[in-house]
Amino acid sequence: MFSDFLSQTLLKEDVDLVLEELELLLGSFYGIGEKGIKFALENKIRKTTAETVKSASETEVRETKEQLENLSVVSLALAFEPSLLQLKTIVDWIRSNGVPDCVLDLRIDPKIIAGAIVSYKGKYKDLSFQTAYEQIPKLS
Amino acid sequence: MISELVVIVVISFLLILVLAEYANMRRKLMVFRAQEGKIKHHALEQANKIVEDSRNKAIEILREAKVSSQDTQTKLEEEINNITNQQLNGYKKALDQITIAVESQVMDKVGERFAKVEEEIEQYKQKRMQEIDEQIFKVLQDTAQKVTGKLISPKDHLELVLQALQKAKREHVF
Repeated sequence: MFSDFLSQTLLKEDVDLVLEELELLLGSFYGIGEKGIKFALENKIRKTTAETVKSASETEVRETKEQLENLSVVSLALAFEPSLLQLKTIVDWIRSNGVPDCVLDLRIDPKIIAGAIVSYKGKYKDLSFQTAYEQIPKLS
Repeated sequence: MISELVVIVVISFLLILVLAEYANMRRKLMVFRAQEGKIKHHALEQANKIVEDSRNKAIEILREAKVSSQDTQTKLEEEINNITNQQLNGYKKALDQITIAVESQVMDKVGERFAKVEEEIEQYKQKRMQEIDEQIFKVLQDTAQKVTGKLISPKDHLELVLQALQKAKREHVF
């Protein structure tokens, strides 16, 4: 179930939304009627999430929730708004190159021109073109 | 009768004497009155003469006094003019000296102020030139950034991002 969620979520905001939904489900496991799990699966969460957790036990949901809470967040500033496919390409590359459980905290800033500004676990690297432009010697 | 006649003669004689004396006295009175008139006339003439002389004298004194006063006034005016001119010359000389001194001080101050203002202008000019240079550079930089950013295709953007990630990995960001 965790791997399903991981493949479905690319951004931190998506994970936060899933976590809210799982929290809602955990509160509905022992309810009856509108407060029950069936009602919650059908009415209170998105269909994709419901489809992923529909046969899971409370323990499985709780474990998945904990795993999602511990995902690695890579902050990335880009100059352009990537398509979903481009976003998936970026996330897959990072997951294949050192951070297998990563999601992105994405920020769009056209001022950086191109490239990216990367931040992860307290390490920061500005690899944008903006920095390169600023390093051009002044005309005077 | 004789005695009466004698009395009459005596009385007549006495009367004649009295009349003679009367005539004599009357004549003297007339002379006296004539002399009195002359004396009065003479005295009047003398008095008139004294008055006339006095008047003439007074006029003369007044004329002399006036002349003397005019002379004195003229001399006084000349003296005052001389003193005034001397003082004026003194004041003018002193004023000239003060003016020269003040002018010199003012020129010094103006010179100092001018030099300071020139320096301030030069500093301001340098500062403004530097600001303008920076502004021009910023405009060029912004323009270049915008143009470059828009000229890059989404595909190239992705490629540049992946290159950046590779570089980040090489530099052990993750």
